[in-house]
Amino acid sequence: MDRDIPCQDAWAAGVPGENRFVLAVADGLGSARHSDLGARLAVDVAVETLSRHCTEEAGPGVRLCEIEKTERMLLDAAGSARSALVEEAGLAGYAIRDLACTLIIVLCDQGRISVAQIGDGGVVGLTARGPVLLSDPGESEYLNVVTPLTGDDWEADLRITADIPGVSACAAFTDGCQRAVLVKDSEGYEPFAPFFLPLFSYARDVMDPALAGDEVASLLSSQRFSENSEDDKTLCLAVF
Amino acid sequence: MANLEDMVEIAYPQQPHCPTVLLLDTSGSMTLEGKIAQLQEGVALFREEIGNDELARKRVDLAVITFGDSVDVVSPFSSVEEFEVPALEAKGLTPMGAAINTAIDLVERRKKDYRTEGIDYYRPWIFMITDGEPTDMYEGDATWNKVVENLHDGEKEGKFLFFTVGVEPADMLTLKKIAPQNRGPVKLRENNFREMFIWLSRSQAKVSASSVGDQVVLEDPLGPEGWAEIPTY
Repeated sequence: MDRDIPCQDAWAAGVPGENRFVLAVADGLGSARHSDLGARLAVDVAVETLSRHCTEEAGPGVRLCEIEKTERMLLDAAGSARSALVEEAGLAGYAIRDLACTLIIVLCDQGRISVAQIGDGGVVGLTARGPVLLSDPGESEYLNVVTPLTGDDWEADLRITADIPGVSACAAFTDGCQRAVLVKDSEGYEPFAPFFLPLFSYARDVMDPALAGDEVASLLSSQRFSENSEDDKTLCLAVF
Repeated sequence: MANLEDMVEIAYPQQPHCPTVLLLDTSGSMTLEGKIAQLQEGVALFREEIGNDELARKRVDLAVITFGDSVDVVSPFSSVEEFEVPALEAKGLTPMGAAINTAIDLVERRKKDYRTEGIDYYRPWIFMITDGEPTDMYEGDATWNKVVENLHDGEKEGKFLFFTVGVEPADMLTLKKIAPQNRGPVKLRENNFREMFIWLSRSQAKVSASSVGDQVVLEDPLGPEGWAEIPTY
């Protein structure tokens, strides 16, 4: 981006079986020296772990709808991502906090969505009632303070929402997008419908995923988006 | 098919706010050596410097509390654009204890307003400048204990950041006992009000431009070119 530092956001996705996908986005913290590496590793390991669970524990055609199992798989995906960071820090001679990042993991199985999140950013899904916030940026009093995956209390801070039915599309995004796509009042955050409705409708109609990727990238780097945040921005879209 | 950028609307949230309280000693002794005039010029310079910074101008909220003849919120919180530099008059004693409590209440109320409005905010700064020692509390008395506890707990719990600047002939030893333990008082070098306020505006510009997870590193006011020195007790 404009600043002379690498992009500290990362994302990864996989399709482990029919009518099923996994997605992860992470935002490396500005204060952490190698958070770009941390974010990359966290999303890769989270997606890989979750994909493996999907194929091992629920073969083709089997629904992953037992809530406890879904929660356990997501917890394990986040835990594996964190363990990978601990291991990488050990190998490279870094402190774990040097790899600090947030993490959002999305699992979609036969139209049911589950999300695990630590830190800020969020996930919005499209339902018959319009866009709803499936996982929110979490509570943090001050704007520049966040709980990362690398924190000691990561497990207590991990927020899991499991097996939400009736979702036909979703968008997972890092905090750089937050102020442009969510509105906030004393009650908390709400998705900004005039952003998400056309976005999901576009994603449903577009035939060429590469073109869609370019369009999303140019939207995120547009002047209107940048006015809201100078941070790195990632937005992953899925329609199903 | 239409361009995605033209299809979507973007939420234009309020800018995140960065509340700052200047807690200024306007006791009688501030008339000596033109200190009060320099303090007033410093506040004006601070406003100007923040006003010149594109982002800080939109994000920094300023309030001024004076303590001398009485404790007064002479400028309630406002944006830098709406901020008018108050006329400072040096008179009376140094009711520092009541002033500190007033500042803490003011930032807590401000944060509550932000939350009601759904406005994101940074940790508030309370920046106290004094040339004396409190005359409304003495070490170990009930008021002292309450004020110091309020201040130390608030700092520890992350409610605000409290900075203490002593101007000649401030009682630095007493200030050290009042200031948060992790951020002791510094002494203004040769009445260098101008440099101090420039540092403060630069620091606020940095804080107000910081994103999630950023660690804001401030310029060291104690460096050879800095405006402050470590007090010798």
